[in-house]
Amino acid sequence: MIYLLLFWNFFKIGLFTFGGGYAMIPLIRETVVGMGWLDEETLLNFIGISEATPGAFAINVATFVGYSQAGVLGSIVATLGVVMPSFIVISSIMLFFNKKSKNTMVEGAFKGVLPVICALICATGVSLLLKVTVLINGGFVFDYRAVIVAATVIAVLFGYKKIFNKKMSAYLVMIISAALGMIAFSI
Amino acid sequence: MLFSAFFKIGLFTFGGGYAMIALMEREIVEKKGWIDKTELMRIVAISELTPGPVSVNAATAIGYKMCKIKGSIFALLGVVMPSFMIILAISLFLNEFMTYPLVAAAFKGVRIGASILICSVGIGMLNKIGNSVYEKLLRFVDCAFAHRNYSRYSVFAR
Repeated sequence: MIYLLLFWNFFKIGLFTFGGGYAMIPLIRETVVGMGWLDEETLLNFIGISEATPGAFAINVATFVGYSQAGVLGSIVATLGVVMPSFIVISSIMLFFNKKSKNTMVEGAFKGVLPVICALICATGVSLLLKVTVLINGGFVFDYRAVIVAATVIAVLFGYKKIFNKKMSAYLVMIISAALGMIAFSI
Repeated sequence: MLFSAFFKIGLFTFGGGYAMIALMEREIVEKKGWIDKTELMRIVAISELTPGPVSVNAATAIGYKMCKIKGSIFALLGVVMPSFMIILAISLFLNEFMTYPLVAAAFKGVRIGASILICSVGIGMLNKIGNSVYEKLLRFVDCAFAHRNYSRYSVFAR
């Protein structure tokens, strides 16, 4: 039963996300936290870990959640679920459409979804950030150390962009956040 | 043959789909010569517009081009395997790992960093999207809905 749930939910995740990586986070969060599979803390931890590991985020999450719920078989089922929609859609496209004209239709649909994806990502990011700094466990708690770490990370992000003129790699952000965390929360 | 090529690609890309595409270009177009660059670009365009991770889509497409369904299966497996195995390994040890206070502290920082990263991706997208009033309004409404976990429905509404 759990296998079916895993497969189906990750199939939905694989099906409803366009645009890669972070676009999936809102839906993943809703599914995974909603089903009681992970709490938001663990999910955030995992996002951090994913930045340091190879592979697509969706696959990483599927493997991880699948394993946590139903062992190795669970991870296999979840991972298969998340890649199935891609496989089916792409195979169909390759089978039937070999003309470039089909792209414009798909492109148009994508352009319509983009603002939604953007909004979802922003909303998710902000609510998660608030939850780890000032809204811990539902109540208003001013964790000043968390706020300081957050402010530092943001400052570093901006500073890096100013100085080096390119975006900081996610991997680097994670390393710095981890280091800051180690310092701030061990004292 | 396909499997090992994509396994390599799956293994060596850190940090997101587009790095994988660059790697694909080097390995598949330049080294193996299985497809040419324009074909790869076309496949990437399709991969971005279809559901699922870009890398998975692209791997499936290229695999199909080479050896039909069997090819797409092997390429897909190849690109998925590395992350699958690594994450599985991590999952096995993660809980134990977390019992060390220094690790737990580090992860508290990681959670903050991750949420900030998500915000920065979202804000980055804000700048890229068109600026018409309609779209801004759409975004505002969606943000409000998303906060109340209606994300599934707003995607449908598009």
